[in-house]
Amino acid sequence: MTTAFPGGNPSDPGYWEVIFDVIPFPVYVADSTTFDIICANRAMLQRVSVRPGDKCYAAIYQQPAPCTFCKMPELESGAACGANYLEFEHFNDLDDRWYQLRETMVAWFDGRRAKYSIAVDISALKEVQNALAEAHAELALKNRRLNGALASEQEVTLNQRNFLAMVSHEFRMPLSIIGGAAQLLEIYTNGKQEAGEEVAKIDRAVHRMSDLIDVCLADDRLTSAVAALQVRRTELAPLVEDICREKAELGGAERLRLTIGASAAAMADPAMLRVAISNLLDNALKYSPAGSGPVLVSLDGGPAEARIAVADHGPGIPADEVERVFEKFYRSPSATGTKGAGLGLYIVKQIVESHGGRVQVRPGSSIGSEFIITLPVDPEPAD
Amino acid sequence: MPLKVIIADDSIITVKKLLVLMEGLGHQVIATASTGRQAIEAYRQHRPDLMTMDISMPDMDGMEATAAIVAEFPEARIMMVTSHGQERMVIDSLDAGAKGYVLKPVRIEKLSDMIAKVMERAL
Repeated sequence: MTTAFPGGNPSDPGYWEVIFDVIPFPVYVADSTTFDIICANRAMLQRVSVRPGDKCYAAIYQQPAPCTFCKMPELESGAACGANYLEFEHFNDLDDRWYQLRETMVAWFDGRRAKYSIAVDISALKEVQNALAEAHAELALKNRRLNGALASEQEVTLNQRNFLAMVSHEFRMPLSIIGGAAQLLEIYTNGKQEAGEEVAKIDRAVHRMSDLIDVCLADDRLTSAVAALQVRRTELAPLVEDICREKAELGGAERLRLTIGASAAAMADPAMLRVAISNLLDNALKYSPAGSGPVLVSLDGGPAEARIAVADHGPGIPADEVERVFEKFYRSPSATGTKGAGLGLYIVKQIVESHGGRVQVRPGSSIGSEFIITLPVDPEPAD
Repeated sequence: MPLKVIIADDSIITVKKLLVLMEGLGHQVIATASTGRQAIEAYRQHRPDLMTMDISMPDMDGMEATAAIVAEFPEARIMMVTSHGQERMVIDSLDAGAKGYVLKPVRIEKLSDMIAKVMERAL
């Protein structure tokens, strides 16, 4: 410091006052054991009135005793380890401003140990930082609320599934009793037509209900299966060919016609995809009247997507139902003549979407409706 | 509707400032506390609608006091009013059960907004 201020004498207190006065931030020097203020610079005196001999905690911070945030003990122990200063941020609740304080331990010219403290007002910077911290707190609180809501929703869903599975099992026994009793009643009717018709109604209702129970259980299994999807690279052409062969064996080769444009491979769980395509084919065969011509199945691969289409000769699906047919338990009002629980297309949609694909229906035309599965293509592996 | 409020802060100056702000917003400050333990006692005794809580206080900090109060009164509406903006402090306070976080200096608009949010959250 003597080199920086060549004309002065560091043993003279006036020397320090001149140095401190050129610093544009508030500075004060205080005795490290008595907390007596030794001196303060001009910028400090403009903020607060302090005189030598005042206690720093009382004169500057209006505290009855050394401040709870006072760093004097840390400075003393730091000085013992060779580090003679501390830098920290402090909020002063007297003037509601934030300061960066740099406090340094020095041997004062008269031999006392003292600290000098320089305060830089950083309120503008802290305003931005604090606004960020407050926004962070708000987000964290919102996040917690959302997570809480999600967890309770998942619990409700799980409870619903468990309840459905339990009820489905519990319904089987009384249902089989009703069905058995109906068969006995049929024998007791002795061929009386009216009574026989009523018994047949009971029988049909029992079957319908039994189907619904199967469907509820299948849905439960579907949810688990979709969750545990095992995908691998699957060539689509052999899969579709195999499904068509199987259906043709059961329903007659003349009822199906398969066209393969370009083959493609997709990342898929072959067993699950087979269920989806089979369901579409079963539906198409079910709704196409005998002698109406073959169900048309086609596979086409593009650069990004593969398309599997199934066109039937059924009554078609009205335009206002194209979205609803994929809903769980939805049965078209026009489908009264055929059996079903309204789950087949729902399952198709679940499976296809779990593969990152989509399924659509082209509404009824003169030749029936066309269902299209679109799947993302898995590109040819590079050699 | 005026709220019954307790202010917990070891700085007399902050307590006085918050008191003026709260009354300016039409609320009633029914007690003040200057340590964590006093805050818990004051909560038990007065069951306020709202409590403001400093973090750095002698004998027990504000996060510990908040956790103790929320464990006993899960519906407690406590908002931190502090100069600590570090992420760890924010998260620990929310973990303790605080429903709001305000950094000093506290301005009346900021306080009013946060009280509205804390009261809405507690519904």
